[in-house]
Amino acid sequence: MAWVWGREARRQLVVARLESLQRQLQPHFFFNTLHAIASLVRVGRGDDAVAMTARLGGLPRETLNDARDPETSLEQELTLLEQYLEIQRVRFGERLSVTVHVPAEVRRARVPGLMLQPLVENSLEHGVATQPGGGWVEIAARRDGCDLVLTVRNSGSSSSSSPPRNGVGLRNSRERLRTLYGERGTLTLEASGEAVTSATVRLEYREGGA
Amino acid sequence: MIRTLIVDDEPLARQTLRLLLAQEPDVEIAGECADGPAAIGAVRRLSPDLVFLDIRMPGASGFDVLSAAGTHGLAVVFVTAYEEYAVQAFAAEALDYLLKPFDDTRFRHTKGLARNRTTE
Repeated sequence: MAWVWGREARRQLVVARLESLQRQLQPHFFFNTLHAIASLVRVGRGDDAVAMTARLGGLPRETLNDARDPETSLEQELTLLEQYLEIQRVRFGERLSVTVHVPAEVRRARVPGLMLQPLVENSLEHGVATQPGGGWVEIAARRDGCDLVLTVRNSGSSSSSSPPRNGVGLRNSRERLRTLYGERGTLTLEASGEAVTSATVRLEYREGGA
Repeated sequence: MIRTLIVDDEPLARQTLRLLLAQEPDVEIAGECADGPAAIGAVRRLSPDLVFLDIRMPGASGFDVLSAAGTHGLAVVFVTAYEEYAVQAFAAEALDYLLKPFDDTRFRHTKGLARNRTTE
């Protein structure tokens, strides 16, 4: 039974990887980032252009790493996320404010790989990028008894303008949580009025190796 | 002088256009906007000869900007990462459609078109 469970979990990880790559190649991200790199070169910020090129390369490389473990450490997940955020900070400038509240003691926690990524991308692309004047994204993790709770909040409403593709991403995320943690793995979206949207992932808290 | 408005929600994209246009002695930057509603106001207020217009922006799209502010005598160059709006752009009588990222040769072509149009 454990073998079957493992195979399904790995299949869902592959789906998550493909969906992540697909998002990385969407014009609003890929071509705009290339344009930003060219812009950095044109305005004489060569070092920043090099750094951004490395991050744009780092994203698919780490997304496609051949790890077969459907889980990773929260620390590793945040490292991948940081590559994406660095790119977006350069693109959006002062319009984007991102805060990460993840205390050191939960960074060793096991999380499904590529679970936070689509939530943050969704927050940023639909909750911040569409607001004149920009907005904020807040990423947080905390331990709640035997559970790990991950939250991604953003200013603005992210649900109204979300394309269906995000719905597909969420569905796979929910299926993965169910496969890996059963009833204890949940993903909930919540809009607090017009002003704040939040996504909360709850799963069993575990640390260390597989 | 070709009075030019730059509209893009990304600061670096605006900076690039400003830099590329600064090399043109007959181009004057009339203004810059970072979102749709600001662009509608600027087109109405400044009546520029030429606008470099992003399509997907906060608040209102580039097409919304044109329909709200009117295009009388305005030469429009769309600048976007998306290919799929080209047909709609030329239906809106766009002068040119620049795909991001573009190189300097392609941009010179755009400037040539703009110069021909605005000096007609």
